This record gives sequence, C-alpha cells and structure tokens, in this order.
Amino acid sequence: MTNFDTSTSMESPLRHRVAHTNAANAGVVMKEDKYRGHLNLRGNPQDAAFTSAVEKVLGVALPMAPSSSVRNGDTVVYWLCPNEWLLIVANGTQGQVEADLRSAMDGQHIAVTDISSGQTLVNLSGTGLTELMQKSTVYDCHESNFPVGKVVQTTFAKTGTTMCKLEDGSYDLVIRRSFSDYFFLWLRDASDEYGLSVA
Amino acid sequence: MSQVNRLAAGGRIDRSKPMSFTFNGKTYQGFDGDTLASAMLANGVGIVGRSFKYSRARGILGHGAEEPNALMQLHKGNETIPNPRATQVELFDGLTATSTNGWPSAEFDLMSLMGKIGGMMMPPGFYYKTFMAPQKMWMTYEKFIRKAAGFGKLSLEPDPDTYDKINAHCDVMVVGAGPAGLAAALEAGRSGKRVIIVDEQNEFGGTLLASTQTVDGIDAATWADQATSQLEGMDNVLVMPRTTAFGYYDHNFVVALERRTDHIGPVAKTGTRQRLHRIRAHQVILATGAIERPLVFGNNDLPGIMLANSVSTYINRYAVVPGQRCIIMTTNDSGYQTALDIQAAGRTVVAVVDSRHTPDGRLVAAAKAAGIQVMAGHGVIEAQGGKKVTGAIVAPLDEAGDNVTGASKTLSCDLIAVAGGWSPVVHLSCHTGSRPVWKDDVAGFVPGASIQNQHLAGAVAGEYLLSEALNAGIQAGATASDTTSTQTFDCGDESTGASQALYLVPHTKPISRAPKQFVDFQNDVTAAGIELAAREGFQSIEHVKRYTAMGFGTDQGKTGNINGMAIVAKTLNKSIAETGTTIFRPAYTPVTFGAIGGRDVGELLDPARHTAMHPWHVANGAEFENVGQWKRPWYFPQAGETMQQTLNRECLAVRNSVGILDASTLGKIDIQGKDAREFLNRVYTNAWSKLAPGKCRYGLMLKEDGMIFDDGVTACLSDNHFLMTTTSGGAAAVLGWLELWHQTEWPEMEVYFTSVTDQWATCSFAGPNSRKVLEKLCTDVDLSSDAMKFMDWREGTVAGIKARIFRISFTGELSFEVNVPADQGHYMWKKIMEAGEEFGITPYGTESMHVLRAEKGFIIAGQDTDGSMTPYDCLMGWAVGKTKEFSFLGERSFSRPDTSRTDRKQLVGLKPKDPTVVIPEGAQIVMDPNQPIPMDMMGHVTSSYWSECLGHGIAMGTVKGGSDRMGETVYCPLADGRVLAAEICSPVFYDPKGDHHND
Repeated sequence: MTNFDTSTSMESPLRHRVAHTNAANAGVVMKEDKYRGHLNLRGNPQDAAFTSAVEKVLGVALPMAPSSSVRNGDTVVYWLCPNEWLLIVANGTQGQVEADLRSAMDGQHIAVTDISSGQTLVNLSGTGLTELMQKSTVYDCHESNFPVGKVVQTTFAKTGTTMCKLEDGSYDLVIRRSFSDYFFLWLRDASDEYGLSVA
Repeated sequence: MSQVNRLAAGGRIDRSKPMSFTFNGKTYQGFDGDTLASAMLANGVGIVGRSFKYSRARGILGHGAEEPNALMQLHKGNETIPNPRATQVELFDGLTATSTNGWPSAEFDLMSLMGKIGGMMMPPGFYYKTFMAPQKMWMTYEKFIRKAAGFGKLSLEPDPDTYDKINAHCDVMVVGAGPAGLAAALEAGRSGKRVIIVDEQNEFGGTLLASTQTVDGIDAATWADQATSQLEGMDNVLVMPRTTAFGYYDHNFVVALERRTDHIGPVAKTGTRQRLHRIRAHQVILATGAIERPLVFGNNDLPGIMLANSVSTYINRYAVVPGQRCIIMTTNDSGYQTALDIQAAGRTVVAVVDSRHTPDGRLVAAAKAAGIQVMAGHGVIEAQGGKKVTGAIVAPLDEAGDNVTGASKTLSCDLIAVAGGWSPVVHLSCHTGSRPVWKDDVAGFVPGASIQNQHLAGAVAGEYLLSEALNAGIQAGATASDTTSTQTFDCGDESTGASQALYLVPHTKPISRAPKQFVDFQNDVTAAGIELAAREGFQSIEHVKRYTAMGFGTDQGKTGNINGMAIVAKTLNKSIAETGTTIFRPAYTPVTFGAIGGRDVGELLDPARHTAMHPWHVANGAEFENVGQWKRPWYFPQAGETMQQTLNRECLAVRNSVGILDASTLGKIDIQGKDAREFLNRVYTNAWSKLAPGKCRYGLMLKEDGMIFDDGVTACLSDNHFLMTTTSGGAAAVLGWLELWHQTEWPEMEVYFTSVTDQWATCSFAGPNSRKVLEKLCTDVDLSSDAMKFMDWREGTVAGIKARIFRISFTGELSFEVNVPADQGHYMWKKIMEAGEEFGITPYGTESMHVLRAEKGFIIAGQDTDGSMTPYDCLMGWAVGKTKEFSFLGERSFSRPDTSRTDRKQLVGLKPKDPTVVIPEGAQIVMDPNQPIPMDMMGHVTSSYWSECLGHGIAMGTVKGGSDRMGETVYCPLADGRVLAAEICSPVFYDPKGDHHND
C-alpha cells in the first residue's frame, strides 16, 4: 500500500485569501479560526438524561436561554433553537467529542453531526467594525441589543451567519464554506474605506 | 461687484471663499455657502429653463425641494447628473450647469414660437387621446414631444461613482432639523435614547437659518447653531445633514439618502458618492415643515415671480435680493415678513397686495409702521412681461376673493413675491398609508391618523408659529422618549391675523379666456386645463391628476397640487375636504438608482457558491454554469475545441476509460433517529424498510398532488442514520419540506435533519477504468464486483483520508463517488487525477453529465419534469412502492381521475429520423405536421443532445399517451420552417440491460 502524506491535505474555506491586506492600521481585522471542530447537536432540552450527559462530556451545561452561549476553554456552545446547539471544539477533537456524546447518550433520541468542514469561524475586530456590520447585516448590533455572549443567526449581505459578540468587542462569525468566497469579496469591498488586514 | 443682487453684508455665505461656476456656458461667481440657485440669483440670472409644453421662459420659484422650474444638468460626460434642482445644489468651485430644456438655448428659444401650436397640440389628456388615435402616429408625436421638452439626460457611459447602503437602528428618529425637529431631538437626546436626526440641507436649522425672529432672546440662526452643537456632542445622537428621508414604510422603517460628496465635486474622490440609510426606528417624529403655496393668476409663471418665503430666505440666508422693485401678493400675514425683509435689504417695496379686506396682526402693523403701502382687498390678477416680469395688474376683489369688483391698475415691478398660504409636508406620512385630512384653520391638508409609532411636530401639523413649532417639538420628543417636559419657548410671535383661503385669483375674464394661469409649473398644467378636465367629466381628484398630469413631475406637485384641488373643488361646487387629495408615494425627492443598488452590483450582485475544488476548475479552464447559486463546471474546453468537440471528448472518455465530475453541489441531508427509516417511507415513493446499512437507494419525492418534486440517492449509514442527497438546486426546499412535515404533521416521530451539503466534497468518477483508479488509492475496501455491488457504499481510506465510497452511477458506467470532508476535497480531487493519469482521466462538466444520463434515460427533476408529472408520467412506476404499510406523500393523488387517465403526457425517448439532427429543446410535438394551425399539440422535447457514443441525436420528450405509441413517428415543426421527424422509443438509448454499471 502506498503511504500517503496527507499533512498538506487540508484547505480551509478562506485559505486562498490569506495574502490580502491593504492598510497598515486597518480599521477591520479578519482572522479565520480555521479547522475548529464544529458539531451540530440535537436533543430534547426537557430530558435531564440528555442535558446531564452533554454536560458531562463538554464540562459545561448546554445554554438554554434563547440566543445565548457558554464557553469552557476551547469549547464554545451556541444555542441555535430550542433543541439545537452548535458545539465548537478544539481542532481535531470533533471525532472524539462526537464519539463521547454518542456513547454517553446511547439509546437516546439525539443527533450529532460533524459539520467542521462545512463552515468556518471568522473573527472580525477593529475600529471600523461597527459600520462594517451596519453595512453587512440588518441586525442591530448595538450593545443594548447585542451584548457579549449573545448568539444571533442573521443575514450577512446576501448570505447568512451565526455570530457571537466576544468580551473584547470583536465578533465571531460562522460562515458556510460554499459562501465563504462571496463573504470575503463582500468583506473586502465593505471594509475598503477603513482598511482591511487579514491576520 | 458683478453679483448685482448680492448684499454687502449678512447671510450665511463665506465671502472670503469665492467660487466660480458656469451656467449655460457663461461663467459666474458665487460664494461658499451658496446654492446654485442663490448664486444664479445673485448674478441676476433670470431664465433657468423653458417649460415642458409651452416652452415659456421660467425662473427660480422656490428655494428647496419644492422648486419646479430650475432643473439642471450638472457636470459633463460620464459624470453628468440629470435634473437636480438648482435650489438644492450646493455650489462648489468649477461647477458646470446647463438648463435641461430649451432649444437651441433657454434664453433664445425657437420652440417658444411653437408654444401656441404645442399648446393646441397638447391639451389636457393629450397622452390618453393620442393613444386612442392611430397608433402609428405615436412615434411622430413622441419625437416632437422629446425634441420640444423633456428634462435632463443620462450619460450612456458607466457611472464612475459608487454607492452603498447601511442599516441603522434607533429609539427615536427625527425627520427634519428645523425648529420643531431640533427641539424634538434635543429632548429625546437628553433622555438618553438612541436618536437619529436627518435633514436634507447642508446645515441644520431649516427656517431658523433665514429667520429674523429670536428664540428666548437669542437670534434664531444662532439658536439653531447652538442646538446643533449640543446634538453633535451627545454620544447617543446621530446627526446627519445632507440626508433626505425619502420613504417611510411599515414598522417605522425609514429610508434616507445621504449625499456624501455631491457638494465637493462631480465624482467622489474616495468612498461612495451617496449612501442609502435603511433606518429602523421605534418612534418616528416627522418635523418635515411646510411649503409655501404660490397663487394662481394670469402669467404667474414669469421669471421674477417667486414664493415670498423663498425671497426672504435668499435675503436672510444667502444675502441675495432677487429684485429692485417688489410687489408682495399675499393672503396671510407671512407675506408682510417678506416685505419687511426686502425693505431692510434696501430695495423698494412697491406694495403689499393683500386679498383680505381687513388684515391685522403684528406683522401687518409692523409693515405699515415701516411705511410700506398695503393694498387690502386687492389681488394681482395678472403679471406683465416677456422673459421677465415687468409689472402687475392689480384689481380690487370681493370679500370672498371670487370676483374682481372694480377697475384695475398696473404697477411696475421686477419681482412679485407670492404668499398663498402653507401646505404641510405630508408626504412621508402618506407613504405609510395614512390619508391626509383637510383642516380649515390651517388651510391645508395635515397628516391623518397614524397607524404606527409616528409623532408630528411643527408646521407639518399646521403649527406655523415659531414658538408653536418649538414647543411642539419638545412635546413630541418627550412623548417619543417616554418622558415629560414643561419647557416652552418665547419667540414674541403671538397675534397673527387669520389667513384667507384663496388659491385662484379671479381675473376680469373667465378662466378659459384669461391669460394662462399656471397651477403646475413643471408640467404646464393651467387652471383652464383643470377646469376643462372637470367639465369633461373627471370628478375624482385621482382622475383629474392623471388626465392633466398635475403633480406628475419630479417635484410631485409640491407647490401646485393644493391649488389644483381647490380649482377642481370650485368647478364641481364642492369643498376641498370633499374633493380630497391625491396621496404621495416614495420617493419624496428623486433618488439615484445607484444608491438603491448600492454595492449589490457586479460580482456582489448575487453570491456565487463554490465547491472545495473550485480553484482547480478555474485553473483548468472550466466554463461554468449557474445551478442555483452554485458555479458548476459546465465543460472543460481544450485549446481549439468547439463546445461540441469538448462534449464528445468528455463523453467518450467516460464510456471508454474514465472521467471525473465534481458532484459536491448535490444537496446532502443527514437524518438521524429511530424513526428515520419510517420517515423516508413517508416522503419517498418507494420502500425503505429493508434497506440495510451499507446500501443505497434511489428515491422519488412527490408533493401532495402526486407530482415529482425532487429525486436523489439515500444511503443507509446505520439502522437509525441515513444520508439523503437532493438535486443541487433543490436542497433548501427539500430540507424545508422534511421539516414542515415533521414539525406540523408527524412531531411524534423521533428524527432530526441536519444539512451537510457544505460538509462533504464529492469526486464522482465513472467509466470502465474507474475501479482501477480507485484501487490505486484505496486498499482497505474490497472494491471487487462481488464484494461491493452497484448501489453499495463503504467506509474506507482513500489517499490516506477517511472517506465514504458510494458505488452509484448517473452515467450508466461503472462509477464511484468518493466523499471526504470538504477541507480535504481539493486534495482528494488532485490525488484522483494523479492516479487516473495513466488512464487518461478526463474532467467533465454538467453538460456531458446531461448527455451521459440522457443516453441512459435518467431524468433531471426540473428539466424533464415541471411540477406536473407523476412517476407514472415518467414511466417510473418501478420506483413507486405498492405495498407500503403507511401511505406516502402524493400517493392518494394517483387515484384522481386526471392523474390516473392513460392519455396523460408521458416521458418517452425520441430518436430523430435523420441521425445527424439534434432537435431543439422545447420543440413542440405534433402527430400530423400538415394539419391546419392551431395544431393539436401532443407534447414537447425536454432534453436533446448529440450522442457521440451512439453516433446520432437523442432526445427525451413528453407525448400524450406516449407509452402506448412506441415506434410511432412524431413531428417537431420549428419556427424556421423545418419539420423534424422522430420515432418514439424507450428513453434508455444506451446499455438497456445495465451491464456497464453492474460491471
């Protein structure tokens, strides 16, 4: 059998955009947090066996309040709907987390789906971020409406995103792989007046 | 000083910053702070254009959005901008402007000689009458009309500017930054609410900027400046000058256009020229003010006849007096302010002509005290002059203002300032569906009851006094912010006399014989025209509007509409309240299409979805096809090939060796739960109860009406876990369909659906050598024909990567689909290309895929089906389960009489009689090409290709009762006169026994 060297086999959705930068003191900074593990989790929030099994595996309780999130080290959990969550875990651990969840909830009605390759996590920050987001989404990102930790599923230009406000004022956006080229074209255009740096 | 009408002092212009500009080729000087209109008036420019229908000389009437005449063509070449009003164009150095009409020039207009002819040719209702005339004449009329009038012209070059859009949210939105708006914003801002205040002008203040009044002892303009500074200092208040709120929609959604660079130069040097603000507000305060009405009298359109308030604005704000000897014609007290302003500017007030018999009030007294002649109970019944007003015929009127009661006399003058009362700017309120209400005490329409969180403040509500407007602003700001305030302002403006509701000043002659009395200046609508329309039977104001074109212009009749309605009402012996008003639609003032498009142009017009292998396709010269939003490789041409040659090469490679297709775009839905299998039973036509793990099955999905909706292959991953594939364009609709049935009808079923379309990259390679290629890359799966049968799937390692391998085929050849996480899709594709090199592996696109599947008679949902075809219509009864325990979606519809009849259109194969012919897709099918037209249509061709492998054209099509017509000849009569004959046959043209894909 041929031994394949797969060390260079991975390409993140925004991989061919890394070189772009047009301002030293850019008002918008984009950083792709690539290859994180993304798992979609479905289950019954009223079922204590389900919630406690998930908490045991993740080390943190599932967020139950609409549009909320929790963090535990490298693990982030977004509430998506009353019986659906997005788990974002450390690079390469998604297979183990999926297996742990399945064995912890054996026989229960749940769904765990690995979607790590289907989407990517993008962090946006900078002094131009507020206006950039106003150009890009109809959602009101003012702190009174979009506080730290809130998770919102909304539009981003003509595609969609699931986004979360972080402590440092930056935003994490989940972008679907097939729309990532459009996302970047839009971002580059909309951030032109502030300058864009791709970290 | 060449600016003959410029005052030496005063105004808000900066005399230290002179600016030169050209109008109709002649160079003039103005100052920073001027509008183009104020600079033109400063230079004594009288004629700004020619009228639409009669080619009459026209001058500047107003000073803002209401201006009907001074439409300009700005800038040159591809930078040109048609139709801005000179009254709203901020002057900058080097500005070039021309009139939008007048031929050969506005000053010397040949068409004015034609004016009478034009007028005779274009009576009210001209367009309607013309359309009813012989249609062939229209082109002749149209040429004449366009030559004669028309307004600005667009450049045919691409717009050098860019535009963008932005979303904004606030608690309180204030539209208009005049006294009421400023007061409202201050109050709302102090409450801590998020406030946005917009005003269309370059400076905040509105009427305060041209007022001689005081606010709590402070000069009005100074108060406005202080208020603006306060607002700018509040973090919670967004202050936006040069921004017109032009549309007000449901749920307090306000759209505003910000002009970012128009005041600097023709083209934006950096950034976007204009920005569209899409504002969602919890509370909206309309402080949009009021527009002064002109009065309707003979020759009232002569250059030198202006709105009184505009004259005051030019004097006080721009230090321009547009005349030497002025007559004021008024029906209310505000005209007296203009008289005082003119006198204070050192020019002569010939007389204030007041239609009221006993005017009183503070301003009347002030004018009299200043020695100004007041002619009470009189009216200007006709203006005199040619290219400019030279005099006014003044006559005594009766108390009601209906008749001339005595001898007239002529007063010489070069300016007539007209004060006909005020029309509240109800436009935005109308946009929400609220009909304006007539108020006698205001002598105007005010906004009707609001259906959303809307508040009014100031002149828009008929609160015309400065103190009233300021106080109303405070109250509206407080109400909108859930606070209270007792703040009031003292402006010393009490004791105003009652105004007279006069619109048409009577003439000694009847309307039809008097000199033209204009109502709508931009569209040349006269009192006589409106009276004629009413006489011809048009009673609804909406009909009169459309018949006469009153209010149709770019100004939307801001000055003329109420006068026109009053004339209709009087002709019909009704009150204005009974006649009612037309309502306004967005936009309040014209909006550039560029701003509406924003950045959603070019490559950003619509998202292009790409697969992980997209860079490879681009690098290898693929032509792309849009499938939904996906860009799919259509074909991979090599140098010198025609498209057909490419397809022939690609198809033969698959049939003879191996070809590879990017199938990543197919929709993929992960289905988990103990009821997943039963759910599939219900949404697919065939049975899924016995599909074992490791197996795949093709399924047809129907809507309730029994018609094919989507199709695809579903794999059993484990007993409670399936992977469904859908068509590339149908993925979202299918997921929605599954969720709909699960959530609304079968919530008890334990099943979850998750889209994994973007998760997996799919390399589909087909052909007799495809197994050999895969064997080079994968050693941990037994790929032999016995171990891994057609429609099996296995998990294995391909090129070192964990993959799902499906043995399914859309080409009829031995075929494998390797699915890997999309992060590794590009790598996998390249590895398969390397492994296949020795077999001449050939990338192919969707077009060859279509040919290959058509050779096998496989349908494409959406191409061969159109939402009106059942599985039986497609001769796919084999895919319908007859013995399923529970029913499935669409099954019951099979027994509908229409669905079960045997002569429905059925999908059959069509073999052209001439083997070299490819029948055009969409061609209609008839049995007898010689029958008289209209022929009896039997069906149409749905798919048709050249098959290089078979050496003849092949087609699929629908034919009534086609399954019973095998071997019959049908005909396709084409638009070019050819008639193509074809034989009805099985749609499976290639390998009917399926030896190849089972190999």
